[in-house]
Amino acid sequence: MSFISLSFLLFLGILIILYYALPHKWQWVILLIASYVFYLFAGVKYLAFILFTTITTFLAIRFIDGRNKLQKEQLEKRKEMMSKEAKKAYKKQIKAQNRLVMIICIVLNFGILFFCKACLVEPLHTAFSSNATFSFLTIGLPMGMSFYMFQSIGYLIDVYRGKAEALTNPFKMALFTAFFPQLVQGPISQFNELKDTLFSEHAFDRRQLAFGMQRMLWGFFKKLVIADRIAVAIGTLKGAEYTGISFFVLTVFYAVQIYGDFTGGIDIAIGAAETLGIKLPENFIRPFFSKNIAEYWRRWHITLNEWMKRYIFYPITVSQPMLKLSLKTRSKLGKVGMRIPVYIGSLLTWLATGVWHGFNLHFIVWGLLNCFVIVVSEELAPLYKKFHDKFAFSNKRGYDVWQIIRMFLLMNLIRATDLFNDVGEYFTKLGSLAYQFNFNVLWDGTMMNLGLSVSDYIILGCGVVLMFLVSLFGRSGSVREKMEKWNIVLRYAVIIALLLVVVLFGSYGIGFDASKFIYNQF
Amino acid sequence: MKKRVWLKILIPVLITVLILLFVQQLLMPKYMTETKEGAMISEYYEKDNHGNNDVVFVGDCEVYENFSPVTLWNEYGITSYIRGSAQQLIWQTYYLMEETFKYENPKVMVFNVLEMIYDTPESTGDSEKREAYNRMTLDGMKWSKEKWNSIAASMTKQEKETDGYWSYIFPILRYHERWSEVGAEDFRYLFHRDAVTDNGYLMQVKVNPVLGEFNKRPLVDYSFGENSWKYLDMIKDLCKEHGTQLVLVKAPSLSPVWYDEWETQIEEYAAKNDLLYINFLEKQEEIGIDWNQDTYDRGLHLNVYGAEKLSIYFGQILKEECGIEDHRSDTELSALWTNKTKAYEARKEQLLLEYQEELDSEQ
Amino acid sequence: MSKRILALVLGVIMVCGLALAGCGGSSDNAGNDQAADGGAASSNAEEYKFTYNGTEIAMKAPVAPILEALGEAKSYNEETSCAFEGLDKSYFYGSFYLYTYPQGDEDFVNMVELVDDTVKTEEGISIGDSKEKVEEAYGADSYNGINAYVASAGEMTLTIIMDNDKVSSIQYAAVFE
Repeated sequence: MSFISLSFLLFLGILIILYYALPHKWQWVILLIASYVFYLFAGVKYLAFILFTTITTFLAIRFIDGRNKLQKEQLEKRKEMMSKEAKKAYKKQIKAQNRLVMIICIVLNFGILFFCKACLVEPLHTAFSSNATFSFLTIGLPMGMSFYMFQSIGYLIDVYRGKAEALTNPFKMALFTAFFPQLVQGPISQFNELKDTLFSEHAFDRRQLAFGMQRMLWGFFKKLVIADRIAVAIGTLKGAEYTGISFFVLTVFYAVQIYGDFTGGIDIAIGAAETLGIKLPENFIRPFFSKNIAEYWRRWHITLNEWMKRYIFYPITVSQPMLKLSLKTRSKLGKVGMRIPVYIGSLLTWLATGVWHGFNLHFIVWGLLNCFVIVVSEELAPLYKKFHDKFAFSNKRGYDVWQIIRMFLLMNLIRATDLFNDVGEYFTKLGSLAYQFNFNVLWDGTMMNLGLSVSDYIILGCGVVLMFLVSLFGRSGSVREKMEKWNIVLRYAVIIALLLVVVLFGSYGIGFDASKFIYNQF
Repeated sequence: MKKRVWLKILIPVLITVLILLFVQQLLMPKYMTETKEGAMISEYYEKDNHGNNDVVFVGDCEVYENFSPVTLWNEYGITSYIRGSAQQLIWQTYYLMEETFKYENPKVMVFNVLEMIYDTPESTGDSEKREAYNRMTLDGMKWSKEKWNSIAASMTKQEKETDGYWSYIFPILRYHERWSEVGAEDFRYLFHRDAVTDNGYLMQVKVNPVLGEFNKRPLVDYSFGENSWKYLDMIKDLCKEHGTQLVLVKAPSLSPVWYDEWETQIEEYAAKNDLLYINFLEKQEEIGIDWNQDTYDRGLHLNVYGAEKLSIYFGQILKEECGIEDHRSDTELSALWTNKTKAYEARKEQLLLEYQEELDSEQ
Repeated sequence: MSKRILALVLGVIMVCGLALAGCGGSSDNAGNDQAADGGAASSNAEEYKFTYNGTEIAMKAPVAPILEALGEAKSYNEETSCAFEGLDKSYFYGSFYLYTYPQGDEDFVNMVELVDDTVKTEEGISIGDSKEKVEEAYGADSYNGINAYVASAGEMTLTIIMDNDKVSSIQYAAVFE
């Protein structure tokens, strides 16, 4: 079931009624059932995958928890009998066992994820044209696999690290893994953040329900009116003949599309959870207002980056070999050398992030480009500081705007790697920017042949301006809370108008397959 | 206090629904000046069109352009209606028949057997066109179990994959993109429609003679599909259940060509089930069809002259073999049909005038 | 602990390497491009075409230049479709029929039917040829099990209808979805 369907709205409506009407202590059970119903709509055959992850992580968590309890018991019991060394050795032994179980669980799950990413995605795309002999291989990537798997593996590592309590109820584990709003495209929640809101009882709150619905509506607007409308032009602009300024236009269009698509989808997910009184973590905080790349990645797809930092970057940089390496490089290369382990950590993290998006050279290049820019800007930081100290204008507001625009354009160029399966093609197009200043494409009619009509451009233009204004408006606090203070007639007029805009100007329906968010393919 | 909270929710919801309904009404195609076929199905629900028809034709252009109820009345006093729509498929025909029985109990139902050639929505070829035909047949139906079933049977794969039922329940989902095409017609016919047919007969007055023989391209498989047979059986049983005589016909249209292999299958079926079957293709001479005069589109469909000839011929059969009564002595019906005849004559005149203008402008 | 996680990362990279190797070329285009871009992959298989006196007639090709090359038809017919604009047309050239369908203001090739043995397919089959010859040209597995050989490629099918083990009809047809 796609978020972009009346079936989903009907599903959510029924769920909301049951959720608040039945005894509140059953709320989490209702959510579990609803999540599985939601997942079943994607296909029975995918059920095995999510069950596998749920069961393996749950077993691993139970094992680790059991071992920890045993250890505590034993140490308590034989407090006097054991020497300090023996205790240490015993703890080490338990830890090693836990580690082994955790690693087996991770390798099993990620093994499946990698296999699916590498082998299942492509056959799905060609299933309709070639005679699909390998029916197993054509089932496609199970819905939201990357998301629920990362979430449960993160939880497993937290339990191993002793940072999260171990669930004893397998059904709660199942709900944590499969909670439907975040199943499609995230956000990836941490157990400690989610557990209270997910498993506790929620009284009906009209305001919360209204807020959730408003946020969903805004998500539908971004997805249907903006992202899906501009998509057709992106398909055209990917063609080989569009180079130079046309390529530049493509990168801007793609920024609009992916922003509308991804943040819109997340708005729907967070909004849907909110109607049920559940708070999901934010995944975006006005990312295009970032002034540098590090900031950008703290504001775009936050939960994934947070995950990568916690479970890949951090363990790598503080690992024994890295610390040793750090000492060595420091003595030889000085200050720069000290940072080398961090850079290696960054590199591996970005590689992993790239691979997470897909088994494809272009995603790896994308990761490396990001890493490269981050490292360079890190290295040049002292220079920047000197610059800012010397030139007062650089601390003015206007300079901030320049930085924001610069960042936006830079990220557009890096992001465009997504668009081309052939990395060479990407670099050719990127290169053409350096010498091909064919500004005439902007007015010679090229833009009218991309599949967008004048009215499409008008809608898109107004939509983008609206998104921008809402972002600006939201900088000083929640837009919905601000709207609450408005006159009731004005507030409803705005909401109804937005609904009409979505219904009328949304790109959906026959001849239009909007059911795929870009990000649920990961 | 509590009451005010409810009002706060209820009033905006009500306003929203009303606005959406209005916009939906505005955006739905009206089919008044172009593609009139889209407006035909809903015409049946007009007060004067149902309730006392002795004969109901159900089917596609081979019935709604070939038979003229007004002629049947004026020649034989037979009351009839055609529940036709463009490229109506057999299951749509079935559900329309089922629905018709809720409004009246005709003595005869007429089914045109060409519909047997399409077994599934996909078998008609172009799925985009098919979807448009579906809308023309289904949107006009009033909500009922039959409409729902007909939608279920009719949706193309693409329709099922996009909005499915939802876009029939809320047609705005289908037509929302028409916002840029909304014109005077949409406002003019916001709350009412003009009649585009005469008791379901879509009149054509142009004359475009047949050019030559249509090629009988050999087919791989001449047998009708399983689904088609299933629905033909259902049609047969439905009529039996209501004590209505089912008459099978093959309209005299020259194209799509009618194969001998198809004819055999229908003849066998009719014989087995004791049904009256008339293949008008074999009666062309008796009917008196002149393919230089009586067709508006080179032999596919008859024009009004051909339709009147065919109706005179078929009326005789309805009278003699089906025992349909002459109601012309019934004053109430007479008055009703006098009005219908007037409208029919006026339409003919109007169309002829337009046709003449068209011919003049071409010269 | 961190060391292990490092090992884990390496292990995972290894697994992915294996997975990649395991499914060969299939991952080259592992598409994560948005589906909405309309780039539906079409089959690469070479479509069957009919060539008459050097004029190539491919399904769904614009028909105007083809008609010009073929010269005047022996007979012509046209059909309207209910409620839709435009005409389906057919042209007879003695040894074959050419059918078209309208789209916008233009006509495109919908079907070609060969009716005598003066013309043949590019694979050398004509009316009256034997079953063996057809199987040699299109493979035995294109047989539909009843009376015809059906070879599909891209957005068209070539149908060869048999009668008493001899070719009785050859039809090229565009496939619509």
